[in-house]
Order: sequence, then structure tokens, then C-alpha cells
Amino acid sequence: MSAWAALTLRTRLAVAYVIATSLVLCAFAIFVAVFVHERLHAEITHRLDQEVEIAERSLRMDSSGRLVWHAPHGAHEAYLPLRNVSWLDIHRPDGTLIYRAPESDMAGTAAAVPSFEKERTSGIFSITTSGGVQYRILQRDIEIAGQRAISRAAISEGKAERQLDTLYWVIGLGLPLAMLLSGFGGYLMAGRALAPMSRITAQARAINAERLDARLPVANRHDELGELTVTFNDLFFRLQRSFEELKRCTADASHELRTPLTIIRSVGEVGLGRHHNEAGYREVIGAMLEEADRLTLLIDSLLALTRVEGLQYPLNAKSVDLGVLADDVATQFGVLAEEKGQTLTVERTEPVSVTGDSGLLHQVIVNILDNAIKYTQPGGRVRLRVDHTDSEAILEIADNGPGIAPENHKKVFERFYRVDVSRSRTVKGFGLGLAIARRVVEIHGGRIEVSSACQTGSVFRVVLPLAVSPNQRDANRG
Amino acid sequence: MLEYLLLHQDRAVSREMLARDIWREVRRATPLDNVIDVHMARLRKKVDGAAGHKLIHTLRGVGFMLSEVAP
Repeated sequence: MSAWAALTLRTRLAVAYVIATSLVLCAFAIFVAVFVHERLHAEITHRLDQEVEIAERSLRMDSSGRLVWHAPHGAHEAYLPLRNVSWLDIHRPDGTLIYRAPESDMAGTAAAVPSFEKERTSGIFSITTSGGVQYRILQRDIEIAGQRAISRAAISEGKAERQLDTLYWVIGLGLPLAMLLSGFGGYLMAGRALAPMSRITAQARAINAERLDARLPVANRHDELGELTVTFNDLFFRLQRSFEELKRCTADASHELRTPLTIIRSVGEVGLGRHHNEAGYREVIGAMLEEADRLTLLIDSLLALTRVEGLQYPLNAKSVDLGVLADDVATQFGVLAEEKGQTLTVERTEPVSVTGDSGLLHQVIVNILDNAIKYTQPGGRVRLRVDHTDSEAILEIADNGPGIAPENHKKVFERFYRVDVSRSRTVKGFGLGLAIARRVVEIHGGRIEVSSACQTGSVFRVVLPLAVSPNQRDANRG
Repeated sequence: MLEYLLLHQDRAVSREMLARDIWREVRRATPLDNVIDVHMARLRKKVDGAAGHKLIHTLRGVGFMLSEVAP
């Protein structure tokens, strides 16, 4: 990784900010410098131009046909004192002077006025005199009634240069200062913007398996950080839920595993405790084997659940007729209902095909039907109904048993949940059947619901996506 | 089931064996055990009925046995 990546986000933001600000400031400074420079030169040229034009108006032709300075009211009256230019002179093409201003105090500055060069072409140019003064000079050709003359006007560039120098100093000193300030400001601003981040980091560090209920602070739920925090909190919530479910499941499983072991142990202790005849020992061993059997069943059920929990889709998917499956299950388990004097009926009219693992779907019907028979009173009624809508296959298992209170409708599908704890030893089962059923239905892309009211019975409804039946396929093709 | 018991005369037959060989069910579930128990109870009623000498014996924790002598 580069050194850039090693910097903190805050520093990187500040540096980026400084670079951006500096680029803008530099561009602006260059623009200002060029603009002011150009403006100053344009101003000088404009002033020279004006001055020369005014001076030219005082030129007249004398009797011999030469251009002379005409001052009707005295030497300099026609031409105003030099306010705008340093000096001004007018020569004839042969180099003789017509007029020069200032005249009286030329003593001091005469040496500073560069001598007239006949060869120089007209225009605007800069000259540095021997005295070290830099002049901006405008030289122009004049023609009055066929007579030529050349005028020159000059402005010392010293003042303009000083102005420019000041500007350059301001820019040269101000720019680094501005960059420094923007860097400082950028660093502060980035710090402010990222402050919630440090809080989130500190808080997230404190969240672990033991403290999953903690949540990150949400400063502003509308900005990006807030969104991130809300997403994280959501994730923590889901983690917490599955973690708690897992914990509860482990605790329940341990409890269920422990009970048969305790019985085996105590039966064994009783068997050892006193002398029995052969039948007595058989009894003891039998009781222990029964509990061992119960353990095996529980572990089988847990394995079955784990297996279907790991599945994402049914592996042995084939076309399965739910009606036939319901008939099979009813035939197999009808004796249980019969024993309790319950009537078990199967209602189905036409084939209802779904795609899935027939073994797993069989298990679903068995698990729900077994519950229905188990919890419905003797002489009750259990009804299996297979039907379909346009796109869904429906399997309903209804009974007129004690029903399930609405608050428990969701819980019955949880692992190890049993509505009536007091019956848990007298009525066989571990509370895993419906959990397995739900998972199997889910991996088949369906859902399982229960609707029930106390005292009127329960209806378990399995809804699965309908497979395209051969008839329909033929119809579509035809 | 009677045939199966006769074939395995004097030997213990577990519910697991019955589930596998008669119901062709490898997965064992509590409901199937109950079904087997119901069928066994009915068979016992038919075979032994009111007879004083029982032929079908329940072996606790193991299963069932068809035998002339009690285990």
C-alpha cells in the first residue's frame, strides 16, 4: 500500500481539501496578476495618447512653412502643465526640437530624457535611461498640412512597477497563508464530520457475543454515516435474534437430552440397589433401553432438523402429487386416529402437483397430522384437504381439538416449543416436528400458517408453489 | 406383520426392524412407533385373544417376540 493509504481518513480529507483550495487560489492569483498588469499598461497607454493629442493641437505652421509651437498667450499657455506624463517633446523629422515640456526644470531631468532617435519607428515601447529610470514612451507621427513631426510622451514606469510589486508581495505572502489556513480548517472540518465515526468505532468495539443487545449511536439518521449506523444496528438486531434462538435451542436440547440420561441413571441405581429376580432385572434393563431409545429418537430428530436447516432447496426434486401423498399418510397413520375414536377424512378432487422431495413432504404431513391426532380429544375429527389455486397448492390439516392461542401461533414453529408444558412427558414428542415441517416447506418455496381459536380447533395450512402439470403443459403447447 | 414375526420366531423383533422391513421407512419417527404399537396390539388381540397361553411377548426397550415360551 502507498503512504497515502496509510494516512488516516481525516488527514487525507484535509490534504485533498488543501490541494483543491490551493489550485483554485493559484488560478485566481495568476488571473489577478495578469489582469492588473494589463490594466496598468492600458491605463498608461491611454494617458499618453490623450496627452499627445492635446499637445498636438498647439502646433501651427509658420510663414516659412515649418511647424512651430504656437502659444498665443505665452510660452506654455496652450499646453497645460504636465499632470499625467513625466515629459513630452515634439521634433521635426530632421531632429530639431519643436517643443519640450517641462522646459524650465529640465536641468534636473534633461539627462533623464533619452535623446531623440529619428530612426525609431513609432509605437509604444519601454526605455531605461542612463539614469536608471524606466519610461514607457508613446511615439507618434504627426502630419499637419503636409508637414511631418514626431511627438513623444513618456510616463515613468516606476509607480506602476511599485503597484505591481505590492500586488505580487500580497499574493506571494497571502497564498501560503491561505493554504495553511485552509489546511487547518479542512482538518478541523474533517474531524467534525468524522467524529460520529470514532464514536461508532468505540461503541462497535464494545459489542460482542455477550453484549449483542448494545446498539450504535445514531447521530443523524439522514446522512451517510447515519444510514451506515442504522444498517449496522439492523444487522446486530438480526444477529442477536439468531444468537438468542441458537442459545435457547442449545439449552432446550441439553435439557431434553439430560432427562432420559437422568432416568437411565436413577433406574440403574435402583436396579443395583437391591436384589431382583430375573424378571425384575429384565424390567430394569428394559426401562433403561426405552430411555436410550428416546435419546436416539431425539438425536435423530435433531439431525433431521439440522439437515433440512442446511438445505437451500430440495435435492431430490420430482413432481409429487400432494393428494396421493396425503392419502398415503392418512392410510399409514389412520390407525392412530382410529385408536382414539377420531374420524380422519381426506378431501381431494383432482391431482395437485408440486415439485419437491416426496420423502420430506411426506414428513411434513406426518408431523402436522401426528400433532392433530395427538392433541385432539378422543372422538374428535381430523380433516386433510388438498386443493389448489391458479398458482399455489394448498394442503390443509384441520382438527376440532383444543386450538392454539393466537399469541402462540408463531411459537409453535420454533424448535422445542410445546404449547402445554405439563403434557410434555405424557404426550410423546420433543417439539421439533413443526420446526422441521416449516423448514421443509420453506426450502420448497412455500409457507406454513396456522389459524386457530381456542376451543374450536386448529387449521394448519401448507401453501406450496404449484408445479406445471403435464395437462397444462400440453394445453400450453397445443 | 404376523408373517414377519413367524419368520423371526423366538427372536426379538425391534420396532426399527418392523419400520424398515414392513413400512419401508428408513427414517424413524415417533408417530411410526405409535402406529407399530397399535398394529401390534391389534395383532395380539387376534392371536392371543382370550387364550391363557400368550404367544406374542413384549420385550421392554427392545421390541416384540413370537415364542411359545415366555422370555
